[in-house]
Amino acid sequence: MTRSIIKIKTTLLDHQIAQLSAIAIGLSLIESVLPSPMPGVKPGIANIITLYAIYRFNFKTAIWVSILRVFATSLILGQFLSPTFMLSLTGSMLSLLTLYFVIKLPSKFFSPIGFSILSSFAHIAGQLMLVRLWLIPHASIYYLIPIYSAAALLFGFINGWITYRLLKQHNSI
Amino acid sequence: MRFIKFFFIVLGFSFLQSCSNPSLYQSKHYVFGTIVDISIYGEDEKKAEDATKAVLQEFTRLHNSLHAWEKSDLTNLNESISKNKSYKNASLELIEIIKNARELEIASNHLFNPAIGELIDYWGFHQEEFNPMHPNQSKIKNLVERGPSLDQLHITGTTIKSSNPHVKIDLGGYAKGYALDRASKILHKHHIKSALINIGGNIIAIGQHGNKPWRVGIQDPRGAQAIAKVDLLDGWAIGTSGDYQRYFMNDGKRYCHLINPLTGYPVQGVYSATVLIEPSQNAGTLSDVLSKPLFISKKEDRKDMAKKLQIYHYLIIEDKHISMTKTMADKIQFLNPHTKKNNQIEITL
Amino acid sequence: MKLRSNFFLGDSLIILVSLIFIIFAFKTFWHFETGSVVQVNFQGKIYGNFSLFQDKKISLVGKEGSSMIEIKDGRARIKTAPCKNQYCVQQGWINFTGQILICIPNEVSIEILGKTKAYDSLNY
Repeated sequence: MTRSIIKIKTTLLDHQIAQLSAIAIGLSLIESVLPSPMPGVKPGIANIITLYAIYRFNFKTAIWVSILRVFATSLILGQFLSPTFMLSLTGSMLSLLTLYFVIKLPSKFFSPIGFSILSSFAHIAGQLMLVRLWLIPHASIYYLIPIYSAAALLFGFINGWITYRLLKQHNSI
Repeated sequence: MRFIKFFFIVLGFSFLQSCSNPSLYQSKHYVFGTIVDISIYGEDEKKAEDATKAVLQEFTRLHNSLHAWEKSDLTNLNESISKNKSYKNASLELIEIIKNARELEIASNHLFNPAIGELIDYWGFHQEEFNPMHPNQSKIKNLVERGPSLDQLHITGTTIKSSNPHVKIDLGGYAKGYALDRASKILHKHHIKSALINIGGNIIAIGQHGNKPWRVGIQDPRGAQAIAKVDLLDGWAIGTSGDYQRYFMNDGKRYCHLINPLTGYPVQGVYSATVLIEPSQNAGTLSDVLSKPLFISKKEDRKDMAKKLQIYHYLIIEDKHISMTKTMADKIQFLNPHTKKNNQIEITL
Repeated sequence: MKLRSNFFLGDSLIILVSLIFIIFAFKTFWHFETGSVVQVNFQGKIYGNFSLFQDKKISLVGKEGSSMIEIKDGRARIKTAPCKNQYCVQQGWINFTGQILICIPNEVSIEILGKTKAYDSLNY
């Protein structure tokens, strides 16, 4: 019998992704036990990491961090493939897609604060669409739109502001 | 931080902006042993409220005069009949109702028969809450053979006498419809131009809901929702007889409150019969009465019965089978696409 | 990527547009009109419409367990739910048209119907 050891070669990028994902997963888990006034109204503090990854590293890193966080968090909380997971995945994907386009806007006029708000809106828009189209197709959820939008603006602003401060501390500015 | 402050101020303002809605006055009351639901559109609230109050008062009056088993003029009349005595000083209204109901009884070949109170009582439906019972075949045969009919009443002036002491009048299939006609008249008197009155499921429309006709849902007899919707134009009325309204289950069999006067047994197999009645002085009454003979009559006799009673719009729902007239099919719209898939739909002329 | 200035015109515009959208959304989607019917949705289907003018308890057994809906005094609420978060229960009573309580884990939602419903009255 021969013993074989499989050794995976890890790159610097892998390490970065792993570190950032670990923080993002941690933040998501903390958030999952925090009380919330309404289902779906969450600060989404893990988005700080996604945004941070875009600025500090690159967009590819941000995608990895985001996907890993969604999958790992749902596996840990036992929600994998549940509606909660689907909501989280849809929201994150739409928010990434939005960031992919808006990040190209001139940085002279736009900071992480603005991008964070847009990404929050995309996140909630994706979730509401999923609820309407798939989870509860009969229900009219329109009356939730203003509340979720207000939450998106508020938390998007706060997250963006935190990201901004973090980036400043790391002298990325 | 200034942004956050600003945000909260604006948010606060947007909360204060509450919208006022165009005037649909809706009220729901428990009278007449059932739910009365009145919607009035386009009138100021005071006027609508006054009119509604007048209608409800009328309903209370009718309840006290026409109730089948709680003390009323009708139970007094029934008591006199059972004692072979003549009932004096009957109100003109009661006499009119009896005469009209008698005509309908004869026209429906006695399938609509308000004189079979004894049978209905025997089946236990003369109570708000009824219990499953085991019918005794010979007892029912006996009750049917007594052959009560409104035709056996002799009315002279304000005196009513019956040649058959077993006549026990039950206006269960008439009173709600009659109340609709009364309500419609009262609302007209109050100059209400658009209203929808719903008494225990029987509905009459006055005018329309703004620039749209009043829209009415037809209950799915085996569900808690509407199966179809129909626009009820000015003066039209709709009524349904269903085996889901009042019934009990015994040994897995459903016994509904609609009893065939010829057999003495509750009708089985038919889920519901809905009729749509065109505008007339007594459209409400007809919407209540005319669904009964259709519900009770045998499948093969239904068409002739409808023709005889001049029912042009009807809808019958049975197990996996829906039949309706062409005119009805043109008016209604099924709400669930599966309804058409899961049922055999038959359109009659 | 670098952050170049201390005032970001674009950010301000985004916030302004968001605020306008939120105000518009509140005005459009929030009508404070009391409803008379509560629609109960269960497992993606309409379970039924119930008048708010009755005392009624509806028990729905779904994947997670039993959800209890209570109707009383012209209002409705989810009284008990099997889920962990109990959001729908904590939201309490609803009675305005368009208000909705959703319990995603057990696939239950209840909504107050008003003018937007398919018909004005029900023939039964």
